[in-house]
Amino acid sequence: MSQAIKLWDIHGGIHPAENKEQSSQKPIRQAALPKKLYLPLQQHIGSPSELSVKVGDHVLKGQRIAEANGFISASLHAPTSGTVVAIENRAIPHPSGLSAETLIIETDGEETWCEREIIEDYRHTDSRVLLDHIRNHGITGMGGAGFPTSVKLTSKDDDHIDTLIINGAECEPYITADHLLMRERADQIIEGIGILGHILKPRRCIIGVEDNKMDAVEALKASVASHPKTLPFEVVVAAIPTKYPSGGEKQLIQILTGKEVPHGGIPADLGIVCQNVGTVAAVAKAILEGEPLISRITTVTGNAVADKGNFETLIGTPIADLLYQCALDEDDLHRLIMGGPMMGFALQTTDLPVIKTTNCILAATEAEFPNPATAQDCIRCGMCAEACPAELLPQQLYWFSRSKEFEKAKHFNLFDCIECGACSFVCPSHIPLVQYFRFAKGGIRAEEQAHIKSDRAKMRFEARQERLAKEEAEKEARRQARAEAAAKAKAEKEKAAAQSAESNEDSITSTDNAEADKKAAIAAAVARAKTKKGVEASAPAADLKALKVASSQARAAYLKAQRTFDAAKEAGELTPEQMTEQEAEVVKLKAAYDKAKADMDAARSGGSGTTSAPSAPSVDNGSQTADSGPDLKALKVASSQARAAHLKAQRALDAAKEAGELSAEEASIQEAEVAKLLATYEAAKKALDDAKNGVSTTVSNTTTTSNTTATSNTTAAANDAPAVDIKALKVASSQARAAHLKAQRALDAAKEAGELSAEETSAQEADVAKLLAAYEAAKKALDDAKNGVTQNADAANTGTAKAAEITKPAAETPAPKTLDQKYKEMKVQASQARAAAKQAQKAVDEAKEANESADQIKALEDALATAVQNYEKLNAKKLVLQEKVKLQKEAPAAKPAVSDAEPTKQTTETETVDPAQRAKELKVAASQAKAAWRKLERELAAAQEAGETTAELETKVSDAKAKYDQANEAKTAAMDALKG
Amino acid sequence: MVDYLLILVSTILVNNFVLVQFLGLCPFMGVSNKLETAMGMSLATTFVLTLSSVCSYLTYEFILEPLDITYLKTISFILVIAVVVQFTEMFVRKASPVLYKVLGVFLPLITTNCAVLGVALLNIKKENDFIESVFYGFGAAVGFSLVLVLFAAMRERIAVSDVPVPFQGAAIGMITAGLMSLAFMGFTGLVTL
Amino acid sequence: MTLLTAILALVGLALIFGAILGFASIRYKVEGNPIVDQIDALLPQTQCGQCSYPGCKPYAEAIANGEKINKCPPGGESTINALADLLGVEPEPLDAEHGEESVTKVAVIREDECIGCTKCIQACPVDAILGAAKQMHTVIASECTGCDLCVEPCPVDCIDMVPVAPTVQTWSWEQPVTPAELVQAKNDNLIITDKGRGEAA
Repeated sequence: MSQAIKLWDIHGGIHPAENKEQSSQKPIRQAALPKKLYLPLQQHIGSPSELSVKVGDHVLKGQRIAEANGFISASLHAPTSGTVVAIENRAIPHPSGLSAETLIIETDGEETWCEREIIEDYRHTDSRVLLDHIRNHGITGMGGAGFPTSVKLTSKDDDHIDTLIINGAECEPYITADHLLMRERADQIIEGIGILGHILKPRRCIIGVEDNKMDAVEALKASVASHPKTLPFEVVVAAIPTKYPSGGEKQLIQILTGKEVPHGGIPADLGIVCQNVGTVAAVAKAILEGEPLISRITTVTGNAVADKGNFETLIGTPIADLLYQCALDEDDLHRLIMGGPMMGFALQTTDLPVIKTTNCILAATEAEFPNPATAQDCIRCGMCAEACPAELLPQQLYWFSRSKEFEKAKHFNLFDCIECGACSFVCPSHIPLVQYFRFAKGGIRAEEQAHIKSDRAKMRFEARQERLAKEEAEKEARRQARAEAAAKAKAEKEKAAAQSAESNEDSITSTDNAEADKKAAIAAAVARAKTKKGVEASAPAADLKALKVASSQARAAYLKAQRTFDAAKEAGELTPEQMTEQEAEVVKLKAAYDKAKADMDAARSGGSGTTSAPSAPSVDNGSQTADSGPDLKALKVASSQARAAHLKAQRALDAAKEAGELSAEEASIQEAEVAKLLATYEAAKKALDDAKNGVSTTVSNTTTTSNTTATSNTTAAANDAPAVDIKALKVASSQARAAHLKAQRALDAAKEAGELSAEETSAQEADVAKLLAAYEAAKKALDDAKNGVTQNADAANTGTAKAAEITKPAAETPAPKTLDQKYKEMKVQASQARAAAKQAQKAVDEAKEANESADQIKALEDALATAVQNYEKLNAKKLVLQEKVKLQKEAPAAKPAVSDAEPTKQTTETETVDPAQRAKELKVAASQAKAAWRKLERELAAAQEAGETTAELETKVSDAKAKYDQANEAKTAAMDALKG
Repeated sequence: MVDYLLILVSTILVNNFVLVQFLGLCPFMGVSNKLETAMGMSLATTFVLTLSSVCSYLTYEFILEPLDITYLKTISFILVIAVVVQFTEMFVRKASPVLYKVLGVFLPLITTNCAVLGVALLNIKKENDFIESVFYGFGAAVGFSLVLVLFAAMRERIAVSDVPVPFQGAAIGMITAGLMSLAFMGFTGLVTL
Repeated sequence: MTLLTAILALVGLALIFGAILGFASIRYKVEGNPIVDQIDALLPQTQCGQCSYPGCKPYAEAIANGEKINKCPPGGESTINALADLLGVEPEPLDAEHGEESVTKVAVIREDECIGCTKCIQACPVDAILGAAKQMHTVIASECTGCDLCVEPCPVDCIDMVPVAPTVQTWSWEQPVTPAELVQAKNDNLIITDKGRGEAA
């Protein structure tokens, strides 16, 4: 049946020493079963397989342990029965020496097979079924690259396969695995050809074998002759001249058919499919015996092993085991190579497994494989171009690869290089040409990947921009709609307000129960701010600076008042029925308020000697400012601040209106509230007018007064009507806060306005003053926050409320969630404190940018440090409190709940708090502490770099560290408790 | 007809503007780093040189000579060249964006190419007629293109080779140009014009 | 008289030429600048803003208007070379003011420390961070450009920039040492083989 066919020649090629006889003398032997098998999940080209077993599973021989993941992928099977003992990252046989996921099976020595799927009558089976079978049995190319065989056999409809080429050339020196396979198992190969023939339906099949393996050629020929039924098409065994690299797919096709695979194409484009003999045998095994690819023939050779030969080796067998069987002389071992000497790669260790593509293990001595000679300069002899089987210009490619001119290398068809190493072999300058080409190929691929990635990033970025723009537009549209609605509503309200304007005047100082507590707090805050302001304003040097300081402090006081208000609000939210208790609190707060008022008055008289009516504090302050030498700048600042206050008041009014809308049922109450708000607004406007008239004003005062009044009014409205839902309250509160933020921004803007008008000499001074003020405000806020925390902590601890304390309502509220809320409050406070610290930091930065004098910067920096410290203290306190709460939680849960005892109540409350939740909070606290510590450390490093004195910072860092440790301990304790 | 052929051989090889007459050295050194750009530059120069050769001849013949102000030829030629270059750039940009992409950045550079002015002035000096002027300009441009492309191809290879440190960069370029010039000197006597 | 003629002739020429160019500039007016897109295609699209422009496209526009090409640290030398090629200018070394070229990095959130503040989500220019308020966030590593922008906003410092380790899929061969580099490495030997000779002797 077989006859000689016409052979063609390939360009170039080399004739290295074959060294095949050492390992081809003995027949194929079975390698011993190792104790453990190591199976990397990727032994093929394509995506790694997906595990389908887990650690501890018992697997049978041939059982699938990993599925093909994607089209170009292959499944993996257990080479023998045993137990999966680990799935871990281990070094794999790969030129990179990298690790990859590896499944480790401890063998049980029983070799128990799983149920095998056998397709005996493949001739009457659909080729798709056969392809699925091949795919499910993990067959990959055995020649070297390991391309999934089923993919290669899946032909598109339009390219009909004319010729099936079976590659038995095995041109690389030393390797004899295919040689022995052909010699000993020719029948299996012929059966495999029959199966592939059934799938592909080729016109003919050519088996190409180099003429240095004539025994194999004879065996194949005999087998072909004895299987006439298996092969319904022409099968030719062709002995081709021995020449490296005739075993390359493209080269073998050229030798046997005279056709060249086009650039960028595959053999199927020519109607040719090429398969290695090993692969064909594996296909036959899979179909006829149901044995997946779990073993392969591996040549073990090289002068460092005494017993050279070929072994039927289970996939995953450690190379060390295999070498041990071949009597490896470890002292002689110089280089360990997987694959042949031309295209293989060096292994760093013997602790690697045999994989599906391991056709040869080459343990070479130094005499056999000396270290490569030092590369010398290219002498442009052109021998590489003569040797190149792909007819490339290796020299030119070398220059381009070396200078990373990848585009040009590509232009010179770098990707047609098969990396056979013929050019390196012939190079008289010992230039490692192939390595350069591999490097260039890798570089080009990386660039392509980067380009794909950048395209995707660009797409995502543009999509995001579009989305943001759309959101912005929608927001704008909503805002406009709201503004229109508000304008309409305002017109109506103004009408109503005009009717009851007079009665509304009183609303600010109203002693209404629900309002009183909030007002007291506000008044106290205002009074405190004013005290300070009065003192500072009376100093002769204090002008704009004092004013600003005072205003910031007043703002800080406002912040505190707002927090208090939040607490009160929450209390109201939770216990709307317990009005009697509230009333008692209100009385206490009233007392506090009176005291604060008295303080305020005293401060006023002490500050400037000007008596003032409590209802017109802004005017009073304004006159103070005017007295102390008003300059244009101060007035401007004041006026813009006043405008901000006015705007704010208006917004608060709107908010109140919305609150009113929400509780539309109780129209009468709401109307009263709205009227009050309007009055507040008008007061603010009046203040503004005053400012405009040159009376000047301390705006933050106005701001705080009007704003907080508005806020409390809103809240009060909700409080007064218990039926009004919580939602309304919440809306009001958040709007109030937004108003506050806005006011702050307006204030900043006003500051900027002040800056702009000051091109004169006082500009810098004003800046510093401003920054100082900002810092002090931050500090103040911080202190307040701290106080709040302390109070909360105390309250939580003792459960006995002090009447004068503003946080009282919150502390005493016996709602089930109080403690949890306290945490939240504290968190809020902590973050506000941090914000203050950040502000201080910003002030420092600004000062630095403004080229302030060193002293001033130093002062600011000190201030910043204090702020940070304060924050840390606060944070620590928070942690302490959390710890306490935790302890409480750990107290016997069975403790009877006593209704009148506060602490017991709290215990009960804490019990309701989820321990996991607490652990989480502690974790957050810990990470924040850590962040603070790290920040300080960074600062320290920066300071050290800048050559500043660092002693102070160092102590701070250690403090922060201690705090972090503490927090961490708390966290760990909580976690333990949680676990316990 | 033979005359025209001789003009071409003379300008391209024997009296090559770059390597023998040493005109237009700036683009010769400047845009010969890459073969691609060198080709673009060659195309653009060929186009502009031929056109400006014609235009300057016409200006001289029909404006300067009748008015007897031939002493203004240098300044008027500069004007002419500048306008031709500018106009070409605009036109090409609109008419053929692809060609503009190829020539793009080089077109304005040609204004400063002394070979262009040199050709215009030599046309007058040699008292070429209209057709001769066209051939003279075209031949000069082809000669320029030839050496530019040759030189760029060489420099591309030199760029990736092991050049001794003291010779790296422009130095080896100059040496190469010098050797090329020597080679072109070998054409002397091939044609006498 | 000759002087006048000369002046008139020159002025006349100038006027005619001016008219021609003026006409051409209107007649052959070209809209847009296609070069921007080409430049943009070469930039790495990390949108990191290290060039001091708010994204890659704005920087591309700036380059088209004459901005320097060496302000893109993520792109590094290869991007500068590509830009130099495109624009026909000499490549310059990376401007250190805008950062240094470093290995590709990817942001990783230490998830047990994340407090769910969503600040990093807002900072990410390519929407590569997933998460919601009070929920843990995580980075989609394959979409992360390693731009660093999410690190600063994080209040608890829980975002790390981790260099992307090569995997078996992404690994590629390194460049062999060239003879010239060898010489540089042992610059006491003028000729590479000197060393071998010395040992042999």
